[in-house]
Amino acid sequence: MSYDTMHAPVAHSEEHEHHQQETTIFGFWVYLMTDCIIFGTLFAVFATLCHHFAGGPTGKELFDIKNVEIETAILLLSSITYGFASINAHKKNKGAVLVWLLLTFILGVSFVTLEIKEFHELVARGAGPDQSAFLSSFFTLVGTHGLHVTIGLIWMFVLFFQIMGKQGLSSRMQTKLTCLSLFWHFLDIVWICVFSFVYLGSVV
Amino acid sequence: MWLVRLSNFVFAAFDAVNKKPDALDLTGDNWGSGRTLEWSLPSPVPHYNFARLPVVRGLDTFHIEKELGRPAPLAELEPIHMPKYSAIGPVLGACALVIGFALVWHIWWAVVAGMIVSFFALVHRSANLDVDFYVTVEEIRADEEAFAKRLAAAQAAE
Repeated sequence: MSYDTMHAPVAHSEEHEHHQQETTIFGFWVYLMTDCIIFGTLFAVFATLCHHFAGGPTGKELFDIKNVEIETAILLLSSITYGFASINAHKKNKGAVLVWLLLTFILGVSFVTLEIKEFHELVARGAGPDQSAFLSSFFTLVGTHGLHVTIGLIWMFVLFFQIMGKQGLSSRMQTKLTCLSLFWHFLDIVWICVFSFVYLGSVV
Repeated sequence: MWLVRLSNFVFAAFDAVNKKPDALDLTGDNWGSGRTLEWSLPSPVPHYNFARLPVVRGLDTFHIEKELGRPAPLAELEPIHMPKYSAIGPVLGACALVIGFALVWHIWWAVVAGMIVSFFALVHRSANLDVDFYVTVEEIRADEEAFAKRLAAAQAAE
């Protein structure tokens, strides 16, 4: 008694598709706002606890600001490369989208690798999350951001192959690319806050 | 005391199941005093809920319609766009339960397993293009006519 969208009247389904894209992107904005609350809370926790060293090491002694600067540069650059992927998606230039996505992915993986290296070194020096309230809140805040980037990378990985596949740059894929771009730029902004408040704030 | 309440509940459940078919409510507004829009729907409610988007005329729209009469439908029936049933919600929910439990009790293999299952469930869902359908006008019209007939029969019986 019912029929599939694939055989639906063309005008109807196009109109509906457009409507659905807007709904999807709006929904993703709502999700980002909830994420904003999570990060806002974690920043507030860090602001409260950042001087509670419990006799352990302070941020000034621990942070290797060179390494963090490289991380920041990598993440900012990955936002730019994602921007180029978006531009090419609008131009329906599939090959270029894939190349820019791949570049973004490599930059993202380097960022996560550097962060894991940093965490590993901190734990190896005895400055793990169980050392002091300062380090607990530091690991929670920066780790949550790192987890977000990792999940964004998994998403990008899947999207890369979906775009490579049969669907190419259909409007569905464009919507997915738009959502991921919102996510990626959002994480970039969060990282700028982490860099300024957590690292620079501790070192100065 | 709780035993009385429990037997009360069991009796009510049995009674509801054993009622004669003519005691079933087919109008959706059994007491005739429903005020809000959900009472304007047939019972059982069609899977697409409203045949037309209801026009809200104030608080207690159904009551207003009973007093002032139903407005003539503004538009012809249209095909209704519906999502297909999907298992993704329960699957992800179950995975979240397993991952949460396993994280609390440090059962690392279960954490990894839950994450892998949710990953594949999500990828499978995102690759699925066949997620929606349209209810045809004929089906909606047939439902509406059957409902009108039941309403008329119920009124005649009163």
